[in-house]
Amino acid sequence: MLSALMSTALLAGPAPVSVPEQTAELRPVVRSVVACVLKERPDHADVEDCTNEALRRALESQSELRGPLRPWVLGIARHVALDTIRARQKQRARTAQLQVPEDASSTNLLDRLADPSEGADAKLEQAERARRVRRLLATLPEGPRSALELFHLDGLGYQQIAERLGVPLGTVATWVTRGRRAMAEALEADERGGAR
Amino acid sequence: MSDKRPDHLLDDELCWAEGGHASDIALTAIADGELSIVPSEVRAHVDTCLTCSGHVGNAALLSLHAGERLADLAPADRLTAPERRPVPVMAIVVGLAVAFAGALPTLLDAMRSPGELGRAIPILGRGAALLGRRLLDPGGTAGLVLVWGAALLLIGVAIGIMRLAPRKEEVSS
Repeated sequence: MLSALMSTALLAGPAPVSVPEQTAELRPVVRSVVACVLKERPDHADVEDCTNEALRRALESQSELRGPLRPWVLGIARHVALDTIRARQKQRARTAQLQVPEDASSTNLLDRLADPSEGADAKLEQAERARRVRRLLATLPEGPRSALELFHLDGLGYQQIAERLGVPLGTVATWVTRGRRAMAEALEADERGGAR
Repeated sequence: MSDKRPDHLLDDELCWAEGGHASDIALTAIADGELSIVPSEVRAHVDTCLTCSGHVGNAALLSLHAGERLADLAPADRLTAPERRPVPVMAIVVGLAVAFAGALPTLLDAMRSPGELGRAIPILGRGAALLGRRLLDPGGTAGLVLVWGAALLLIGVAIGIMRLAPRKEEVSS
């Protein structure tokens, strides 16, 4: 059914490019994201299943799309892959439970209860995250910071950013790559420091 | 051998890493959907190389994560001014033209019977003068309501501005 949807999308007129067409074009990067989350090779059967599932969900819920398509579809792909990991973990836990005595397995009951405080803390967590991002953005040089803001918040492409900032295309690509990496490393270090 | 590419493509030296694999910069551009700026031979390599396509996934997740974190920020935290939309001059002109066309029959009617307009002006003037006297009358109810109403409106607007205005937080180094 998915392939039928894809081929229908691909047979559509040349312009403008529809959401199903754009979604189909994202297949390679969706597969890479799923493979990365699952820590499997891109040609693994689970990766292919998750990729199909992510694209199916994206096509079915395209009416919910608010904002740029790419991060939205990749977010769905990540979600599907994480669901698969959780399903695998549950399966492993069930298998393990079958092998241990009944009284020992009942001690895990508390672990399985949902944490009711999660929703209440969400806003505080978001504010804390924003404060951390603000702090580390202040440590980035102006170029990478501007490039990241223009790409992620304004949705500009590399070429448009280069024109806007008056720098060569390669500089923008370097700023985006290094800025993002620096941001990830700083956030990771910050979280490690906070956990201590 | 020259590594110089057309301006719309990334240079070779930025696209290749050691071991014949694509560089982080090329992989990030591919993960961001900037395929048109990546030379075709680099894209062809990434399509067939398991290592590179795995790294594209990593780069895409990193991009997703960075985008989500930046989206948490308030507009006041931004260094670069957001892209401003141009004033829709054409839409405004068309809107005014439609409004004028809609009002045209009424205006023509009013011009056809200038006597009625002449009679209405003194009545409206007398009404406005009476309202002014009532409002400015010291100790009058209407004046008090106006003064207190204006004060409450100002306080309400001030509270609204305080709540809506973005707060600039000090960044501790």
